[in-house]
Amino acid sequence: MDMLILNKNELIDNIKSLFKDYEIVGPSQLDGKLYFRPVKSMDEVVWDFVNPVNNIKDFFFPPSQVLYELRQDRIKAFEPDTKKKRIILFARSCDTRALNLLDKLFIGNYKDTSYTARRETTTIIGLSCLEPADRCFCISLGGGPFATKGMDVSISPVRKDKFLLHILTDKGKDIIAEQGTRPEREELSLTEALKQKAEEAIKRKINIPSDFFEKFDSDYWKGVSQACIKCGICTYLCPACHCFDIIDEGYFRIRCWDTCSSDTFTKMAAGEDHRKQKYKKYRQRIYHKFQYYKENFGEIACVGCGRCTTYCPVKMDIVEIVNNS
Amino acid sequence: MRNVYVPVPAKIIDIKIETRDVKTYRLVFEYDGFRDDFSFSAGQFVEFSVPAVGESTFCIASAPDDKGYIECSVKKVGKVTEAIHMLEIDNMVGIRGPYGNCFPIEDMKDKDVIFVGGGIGLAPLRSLIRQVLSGRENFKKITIIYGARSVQDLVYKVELEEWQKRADIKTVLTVDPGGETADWKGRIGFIPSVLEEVSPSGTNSIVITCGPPIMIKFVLLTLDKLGFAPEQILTTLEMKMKCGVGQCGRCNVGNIYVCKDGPVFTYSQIKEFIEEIN
Amino acid sequence: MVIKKIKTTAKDLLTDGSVSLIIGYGINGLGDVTPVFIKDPDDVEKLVWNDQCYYNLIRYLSDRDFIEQNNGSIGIIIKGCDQKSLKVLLSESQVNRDKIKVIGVTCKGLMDSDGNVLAKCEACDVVYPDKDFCDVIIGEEVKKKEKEKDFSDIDEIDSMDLPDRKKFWNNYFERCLRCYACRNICPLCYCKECIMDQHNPLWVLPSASVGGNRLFHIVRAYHLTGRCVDCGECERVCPIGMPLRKINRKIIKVVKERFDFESGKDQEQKSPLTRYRENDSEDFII
Repeated sequence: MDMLILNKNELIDNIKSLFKDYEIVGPSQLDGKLYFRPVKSMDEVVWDFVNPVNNIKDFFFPPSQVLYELRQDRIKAFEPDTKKKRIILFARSCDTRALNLLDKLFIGNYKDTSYTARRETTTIIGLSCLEPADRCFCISLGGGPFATKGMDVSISPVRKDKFLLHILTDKGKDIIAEQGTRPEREELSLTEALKQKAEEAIKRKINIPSDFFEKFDSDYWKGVSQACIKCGICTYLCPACHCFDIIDEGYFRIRCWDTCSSDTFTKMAAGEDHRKQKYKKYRQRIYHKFQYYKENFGEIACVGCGRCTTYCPVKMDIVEIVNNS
Repeated sequence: MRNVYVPVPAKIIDIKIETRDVKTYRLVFEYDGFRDDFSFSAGQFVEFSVPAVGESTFCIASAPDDKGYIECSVKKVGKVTEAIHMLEIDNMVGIRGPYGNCFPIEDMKDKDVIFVGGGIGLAPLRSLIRQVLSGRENFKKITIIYGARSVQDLVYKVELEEWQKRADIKTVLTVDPGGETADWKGRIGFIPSVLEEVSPSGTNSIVITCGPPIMIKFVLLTLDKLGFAPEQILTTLEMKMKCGVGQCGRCNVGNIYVCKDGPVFTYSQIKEFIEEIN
Repeated sequence: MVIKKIKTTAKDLLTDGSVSLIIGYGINGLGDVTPVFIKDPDDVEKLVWNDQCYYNLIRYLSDRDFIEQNNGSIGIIIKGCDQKSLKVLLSESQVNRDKIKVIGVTCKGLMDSDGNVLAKCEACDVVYPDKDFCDVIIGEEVKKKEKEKDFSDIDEIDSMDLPDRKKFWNNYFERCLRCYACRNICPLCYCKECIMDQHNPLWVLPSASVGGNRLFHIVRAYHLTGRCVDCGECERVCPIGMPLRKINRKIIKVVKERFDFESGKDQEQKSPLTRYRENDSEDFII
């Protein structure tokens, strides 16, 4: 793992040089909110933020994509255009960890060709979190504000205009130019101090009870799910949620995001539905993330970003609900 | 690397009308390579695509030994199945598969095998029955108990007649009270009660049952009365499926995906499912 | 103190058996206001009242899951804007007035997280819920201000050229995720099976395409014609910040001009598009 120190201008120049050959996606403002979106210049990129509304899964598993065209006389598959390589700028460690979680499903038994192609041609530059929000709880799930899992290059602040870069993969090596200085011990300890401060700022902890599995039939779920309005915001904004629907638009077959909260998720053609009641749907979402995904893939499908609680129309607090179960 | 969502074209070469709402489609894959390579085991399913309409899950009803084609029996219940029923011979459709697990035929050898089917539920069983019958000597007593709401609703009438003629298997057909015709020679009664009358032994035997949820519920009670343990009872589950490969999450119950870890399950496995599904 | 009175009122209603459930505002683990459902009289301590009590709790009275789970009498805390949607529900026979106890609370205006008063509150004309409509009123009486509704932002969009208007709206329709939060939070969107969830026939594609999103929002606005009370919840919950109130208020403006009708004022009056009268000016349904 290579480490080097760049000052802010050097870093900006390095990234600017990448605009020529790469499509750059970074956090930028639109209508008063912050989103990860394609940017045309470094002027659009925001440096000081907690986390944008959307997350980086949008760029590997898009909200809607055409799979193929099916007609009587031909079938034409659509693969993503990966001629132009892509860089995702300033992703937080929670979002990049979530991408690794999704890899287990999409690049598992049956490789999803478009997801795999996008993963191979995208480089991720992560940015450590200096000021986590009240809603964050990544540490209790094995992450952290300065964690680097899932990143190709990680940028951690040393001082206001100085940054420590970790080059973690070959893809990361390809995009960082030969410049900068080797880190001094003093600089490393400054970064370490900022890391400690950020970690201490995260007070929220999720604590899955040891008898969580046994609580399945408890009436607890009926009570806590009452406020839920069965929309899709928690699912669509969650970096680790991944369920989808396959539908037909004319002759095109499209894969689009779906949520287990929706009324049609488990509804069969003749109308039967084994998960008709709202509390069953809510319970399924919690158990899928905190129990089943762990049983199948070894890790909990939650990274502690807190978006679900912040953007929930009725502010349902997932930490409170799981901790009290 | 093949995109797992893209189907392979198949042509309809035969359509058989089984009942007023069930038709059986015989399909041949267009590409020679695929046609010869396609192999499956009884119990597996395919995703059947109708251009511009949608995709639906059907178990393969033909036998694994039937080379060159597959058959699917389709009951008209919704949008896609309605569109399938309007298809004609030589129409092209898309097929993805075979997916899912299969009946554990090895575990059935040297045992009595009892099939209990209701209505369209005979479709997945038919594949297995034909596979078992092609190796008849490997199995002990074979009993087929099949029934439907009325004589009109019985599927695979041709095959049923063949099976009844065979001396080496016991075939019992029944229709619900009120569903008989004047010349009906089979039994009259609900399947669970006919099963109790036939009273197969629970020693060294395996039961495979498939049918409407209400039938399964009472068949399970009867089997329990007759002394069958949950490990001896197999069934195939029906769930809403979309991708068929364990990714989209629709068929997820507990930590299993019905499309990937099923659709064949023993009753003891089903009892372990954390949720109650019909 | 308002909150003290809310708690005592709730406790009394639960203790004397008038209601079996109170729907009000509480706090979640992060300190944000969230809807609470209280059955035990001692739990009334969970209730709060502040300028972040955004939710239109009437939404739960038309929710099928909720009705299924709670068939006793319900006590509900409402603000003036919420009251309007309750009146519409009553006019459409969706709520049994005898089975609810309406606890109206004076609301001086809600604030967003930056401390600014919400736009809908600046234009509010029901700070004090109707005395003769609520079972209990808590808070100081405020004289009703007959405000002329301000549609200047609607006029601004109406004055845009069509290409500019298309660009304005496509900016949002391109990014709409089809999360249906706007539809699900609305108290007046209570169809058993929403047209958007029907697959046979498929009216609108479920995927988030520009055309599909545009159609969804227009269809929803049309289904709310003469019914929407501009409680503003839809715009508040949208994760991409779509100005949904503008769409609904455009229709509110047209309904006022054409039919001289405002929804939510009179619980006996149905929307002009959902009622039939002998002296209607048209001689057919359209």
